[in-house]
Amino acid sequence: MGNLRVFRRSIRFTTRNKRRFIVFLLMFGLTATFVAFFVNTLDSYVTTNYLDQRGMFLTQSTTYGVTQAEGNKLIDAVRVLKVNYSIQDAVLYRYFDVGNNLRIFSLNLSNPWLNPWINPSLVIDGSFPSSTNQALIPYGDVQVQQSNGVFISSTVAVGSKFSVWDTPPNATNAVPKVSFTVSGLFDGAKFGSGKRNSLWVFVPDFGFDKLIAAFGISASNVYVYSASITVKTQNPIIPSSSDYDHVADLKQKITDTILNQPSQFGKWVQVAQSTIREKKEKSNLDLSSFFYGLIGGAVLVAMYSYLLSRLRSREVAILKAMGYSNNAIRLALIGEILTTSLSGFIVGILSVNGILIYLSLQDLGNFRTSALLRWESILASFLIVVLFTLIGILIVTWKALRVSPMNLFRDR
Amino acid sequence: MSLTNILKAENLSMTYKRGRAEVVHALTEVNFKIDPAEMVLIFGPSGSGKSTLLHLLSGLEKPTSGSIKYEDKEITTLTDKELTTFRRDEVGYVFQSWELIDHMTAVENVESPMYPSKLDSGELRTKSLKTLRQLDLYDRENHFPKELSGGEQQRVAIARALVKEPKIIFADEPTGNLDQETGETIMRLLKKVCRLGTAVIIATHNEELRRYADRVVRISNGRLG
Repeated sequence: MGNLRVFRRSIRFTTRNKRRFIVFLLMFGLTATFVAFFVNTLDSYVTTNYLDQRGMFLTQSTTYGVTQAEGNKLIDAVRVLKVNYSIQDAVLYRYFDVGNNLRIFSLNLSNPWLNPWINPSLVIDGSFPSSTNQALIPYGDVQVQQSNGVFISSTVAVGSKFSVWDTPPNATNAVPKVSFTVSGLFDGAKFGSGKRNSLWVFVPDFGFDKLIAAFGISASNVYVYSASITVKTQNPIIPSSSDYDHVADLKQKITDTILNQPSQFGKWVQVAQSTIREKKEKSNLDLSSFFYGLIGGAVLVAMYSYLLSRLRSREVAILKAMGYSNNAIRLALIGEILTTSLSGFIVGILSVNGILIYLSLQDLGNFRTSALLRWESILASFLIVVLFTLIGILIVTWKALRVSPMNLFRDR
Repeated sequence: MSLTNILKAENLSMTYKRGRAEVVHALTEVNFKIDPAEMVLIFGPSGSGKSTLLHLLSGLEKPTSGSIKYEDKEITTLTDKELTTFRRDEVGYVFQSWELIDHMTAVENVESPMYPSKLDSGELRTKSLKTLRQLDLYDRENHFPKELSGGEQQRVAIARALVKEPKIIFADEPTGNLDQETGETIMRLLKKVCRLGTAVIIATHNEELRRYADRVVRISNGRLG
């Protein structure tokens, strides 16, 4: 009972000196963050896994131009699918041609990473468009031809404005039909192949209908090049493995009810994620990172143990002088070290999870299988922190308990 | 238990090394004894060996040679564990610089020697508060040492020594850092404790404290005069 009380009190007293507790807490938090983050590299990261967990992509068949009407039918059919989960987003990516030298595509800005073919990582200069008058255009493989009644200013650098006229721009009373500012250039080779004779312009979807009207394009001449469908996760922030099951179910149902009915919905094919994004895999065991975590943890715990043995030498001397047994003093030190290390561990794990969640929200292409640390990583980190803590306890108690109280006072 | 000589030291010597070569003879062939309910003043200048004598008698250190008998038990031959028990059960020690634990309140400091005991926490708190009140610290129980004056800290240190009702109290310069009035209050208190049956050994260089003592022994250069 007595020693248990010593242990309990030491836990309470640990937090009394708030400044010191916070410093030590941060030290251990940093240790745990290091360890957990690096231990998590034991997981394998595959870009496509994460995207597969969230949704699927369809694209028009190479031999068939899916019309906007067919695309809308598809979206309607997806939304009423009898499934026991919610569809988060079903988005069409459309395009239309203006004469022979201009093709305008729509981009979904609510989550730019869901755009099947062009995501922010492909922008090599400038940035992804963010407003209706901004456009993204391919870099390097475009030859603009001014013909067939469509006239385009030839300057297409980032930040420059280009306009489209249906009369020569230098004609009397010439007014441009639309004007764009180039927000960025992307690697055109990633989107189709070979040189094109037309300028491809990617604009935000929310101004796309106005553009169609401005150019007087009939609805039957608006096509859909892709569609993305995502499933609402059980938890809006944290994807779970059951979300993956939902996506698998969705894919099966879409195949059965939509892809097999080209007469209604047009000809679609499902796109494998790996053909859209570069498949990024890490080795299953990133040993170097793992050891950085271990070394970082070891150094911090050794520092902590040393500091604690110095800072607590006076207290240990007083307790010894008062007649505390070595076991009681050891329990008091263990209580303090455990409180600090476990609090630090929790802080560290929360920090790493926070970082991972933030990354997953920012970047769907961020190659993680989960936005959270896997439980195996948490367990491994915990065991490592406990191991270091035990080593720390051994160092501290070994130093503190082998000397007489008067020697401890004199050392001080 | 014998009513005389609760503690008796014979031919007590203590030497230790300072640096690599210098050997310091802190105590040489010291003989000392004290009866229950007796207050003995060990009087001597700084560096005379009085604190070392207190450390040896209280079991904080072991002598180089000689014998110390507590009641009928030889304490120089006790193991570390047995010495710990001796300090826990029989001795109260008031350090020269009080040595309160900074992150504990006054009442926690007082009850801290009893944390490892089998008393339940309520009993322990009641006993500690009672001791603090006896020392006129009833309204300072939840203050941390840094929030207390020197005299109050000294009284907390004394309360910590008294709370476990030891048979001997050792006090090293108990008035050393205090003004005259507070010092006298502390001495009256120790005298009161002594009258209740506890042996009190005080090390000091303050001549004015002689009037409180039942007996005064002088120490100089590690030898009792």
